[in-house]
Amino acid sequence: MKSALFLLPFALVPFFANDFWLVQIFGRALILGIIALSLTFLAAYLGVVSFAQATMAGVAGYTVAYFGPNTVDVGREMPFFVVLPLAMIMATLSGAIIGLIARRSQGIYAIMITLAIGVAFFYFTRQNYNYFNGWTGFSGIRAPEIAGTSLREPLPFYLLIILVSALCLLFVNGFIKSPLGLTIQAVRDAPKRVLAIGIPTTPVIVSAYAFAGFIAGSGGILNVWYQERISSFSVGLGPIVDILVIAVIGGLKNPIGAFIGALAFVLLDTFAVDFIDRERFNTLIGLVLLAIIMGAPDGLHGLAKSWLSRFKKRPSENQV
Amino acid sequence: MTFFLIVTLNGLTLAALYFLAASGFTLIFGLMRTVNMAHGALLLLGGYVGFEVAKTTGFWPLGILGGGLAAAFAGALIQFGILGRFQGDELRQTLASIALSIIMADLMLWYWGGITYQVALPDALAGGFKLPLLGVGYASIRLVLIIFAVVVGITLWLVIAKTRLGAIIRAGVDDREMLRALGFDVAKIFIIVFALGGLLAGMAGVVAASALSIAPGTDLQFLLSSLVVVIVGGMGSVGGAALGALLIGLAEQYGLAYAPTYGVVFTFAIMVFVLAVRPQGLLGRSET
Amino acid sequence: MPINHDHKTANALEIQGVGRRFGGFWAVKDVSLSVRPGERRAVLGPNGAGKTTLFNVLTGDLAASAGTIRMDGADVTQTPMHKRIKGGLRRTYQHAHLFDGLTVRETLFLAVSSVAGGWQRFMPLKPSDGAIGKAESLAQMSGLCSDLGREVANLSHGQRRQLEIGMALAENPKMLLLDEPAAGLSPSERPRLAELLLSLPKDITIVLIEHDMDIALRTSDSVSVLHNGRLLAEGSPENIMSNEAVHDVYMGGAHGH
Repeated sequence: MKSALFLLPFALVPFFANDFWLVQIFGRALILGIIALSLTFLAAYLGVVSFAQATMAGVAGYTVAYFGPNTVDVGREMPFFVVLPLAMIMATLSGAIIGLIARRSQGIYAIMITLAIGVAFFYFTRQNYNYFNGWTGFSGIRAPEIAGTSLREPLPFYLLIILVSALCLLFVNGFIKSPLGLTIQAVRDAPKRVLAIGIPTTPVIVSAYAFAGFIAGSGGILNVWYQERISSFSVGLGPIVDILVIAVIGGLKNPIGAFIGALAFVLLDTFAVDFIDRERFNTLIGLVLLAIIMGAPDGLHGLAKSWLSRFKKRPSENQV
Repeated sequence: MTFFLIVTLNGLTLAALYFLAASGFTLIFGLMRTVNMAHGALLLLGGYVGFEVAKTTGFWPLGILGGGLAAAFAGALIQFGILGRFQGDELRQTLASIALSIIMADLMLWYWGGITYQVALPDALAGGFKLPLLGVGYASIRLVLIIFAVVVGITLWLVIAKTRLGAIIRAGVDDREMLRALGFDVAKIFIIVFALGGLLAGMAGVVAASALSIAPGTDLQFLLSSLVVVIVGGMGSVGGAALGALLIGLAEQYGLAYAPTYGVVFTFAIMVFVLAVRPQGLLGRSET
Repeated sequence: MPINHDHKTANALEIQGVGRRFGGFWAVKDVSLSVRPGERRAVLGPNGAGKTTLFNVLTGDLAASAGTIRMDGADVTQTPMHKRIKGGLRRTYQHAHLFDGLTVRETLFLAVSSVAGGWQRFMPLKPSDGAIGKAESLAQMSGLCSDLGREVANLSHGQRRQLEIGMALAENPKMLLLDEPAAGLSPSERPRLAELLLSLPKDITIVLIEHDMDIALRTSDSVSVLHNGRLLAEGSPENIMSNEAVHDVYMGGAHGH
């Protein structure tokens, strides 16, 4: 519950922000935050840094594009109440399959294997025209109208984003306290011991990835509505690394870190142009990432936490 | 039949490039357990510098040497200045090397721009020649590339099997703590090995710029191929890198020739299959 | 494989001619033992005597290269580890890998429930769950009542050993195999562990490997001594203390150099 309260300031945004800040800054940050949350979940509780989260999000996005309204002549349209559950199922399934492939890999091995899977999917979407429309991908994707409210309007869309963000945070925090969630953490700490108390580890690892796929999928659906298009570049190395950067900058130890990192990333991405050459954004983000990794391995969330605890301990000295 | 042989030859060319790129990557991993995600950036840097050197001096071998040395220096600098600071924390090293690769790629784009570079070849290599028996022409540089990869592979094997540095590397692969206990300056050895990995990457970059061409994106292409090659061949094994490169290079070319839409699926299928039956890679040691 | 129970004559553990070979080397050779239900048996021997290998063969971590193992009269020589666990066998490990990120309560909960089935596994834990109650009574048995909410990473070494035993007690075991439960404990922690071992329910059969002679002799009814993979002597603690052959290889080996 407490962690969802963190999103409260985001809920107040509509009272004073214009549509640009509402959607381009806060909306986009929350969407990227949800996808990064799926990475943070795997990193914090399974102990695996996965590079395939943009891929799982992309699977949901492509499902929405293929079965929803689009302006390319690929796919078949179905009502949104069929498409949305289908997209979630596909994303969860993609997570499970990736988990099955990577189940025996930990640490740096898992990084390499999930990265290879992510890039293989990118090449696949680029070459396949029947389902992914290759290089061009899908455009003209529209968010549906539900009960007379169009989700393409900034305010309803933003409210949906914040609702989904809060639900995802609550899901993660509830799930890690469930028997399966505890077992996932036990596998992180001592996989052989989990076997020794009679629990096979493969289903546990696969369900952790599947759960991550579910979270990434919710972000993926919102993202494809936000972008209104999807192509192989949406699942390419750029987004893959962006999601990692967000999660690392925010901090891999706590689910909230994903949203902190996403907000920092979007603010940098949007306003860096004011003080550096737009072209050099990658150098800037690379330097920020390097500084965080070298100076604050627990990310902005870790920094904020240590500042807060210092403030709580010695309120008087902090004034100096 | 001729077509098949040409495709095979193309596969071998690609495999040679993949091996050159992956050998340094796997060497560094074998000794230090560092996954150097900036390896592709080192390769591209070597390619650019090699291009400049070859253009200025007009002497192609000097370009290879220059590119290799530049990347070796950059590699040593990376290990000395950044990655060496958290030796043993592999995840942090990997993440830091990702940050470095982002920065390097962007700075190279800034300096060399988005255009494609190709190193001018000496006249002797610029043409093609007729393959005996087949009567088909084939670019000389590609054969040189295959020979170069074989020479590098054998040299690397000799260095590891016969020299003092090689003995230290082999000892370190088995037990890094022992090296330290024996009184070796491990930090220095790591910098040397990183430089050696950089040298291999840089030379691979110049060779790639000669046989094919280089541009922004080449770094990622070779980083990824190196990843897949060492996952298949076995992390840390030079022999594994050769085997992996051969499998992936051939699979990619056959895929391109006979099933153009799904070439990448072959590569991926090989990787998944190897992971399923031998998670440590074909010639790799068990992770535990 | 049909399991043939014969309760009247069955020993809790009955092994005959058991051996385990690594390449050409027999780490354990031709060992026969019988342990009565409820008996407390210590297995002693110098380092490299084959004690841990014998344990691994008993639990099914390693397959036996020779001989038969019967538990409660049933032949389990070919039975995989998880089925032996279901049959009531538990063990502790010498080098404890515990779930450092979980609390004591959560760890014991996992040991009790081996993960709830169906939809329940996705639901957050509620204090009213039966498995949680069982976990708490395990904490009581292993003396960790006041540490239920603590993270395992913050436990002392002695408390980690207690938690090991608590996990092994989950779901009414019939037989416990304890692999050096006192290893690495400080002198002040040892008596506490001995008391814990003595307080365990009397119907549980316990076989323990122990280096600490004090604990071993205090907590056991009978002792088997292994040397170079073979059974050297067997008897009551008093007998073993006065056995010359044992003195030569074990006491001599342990204290003479």
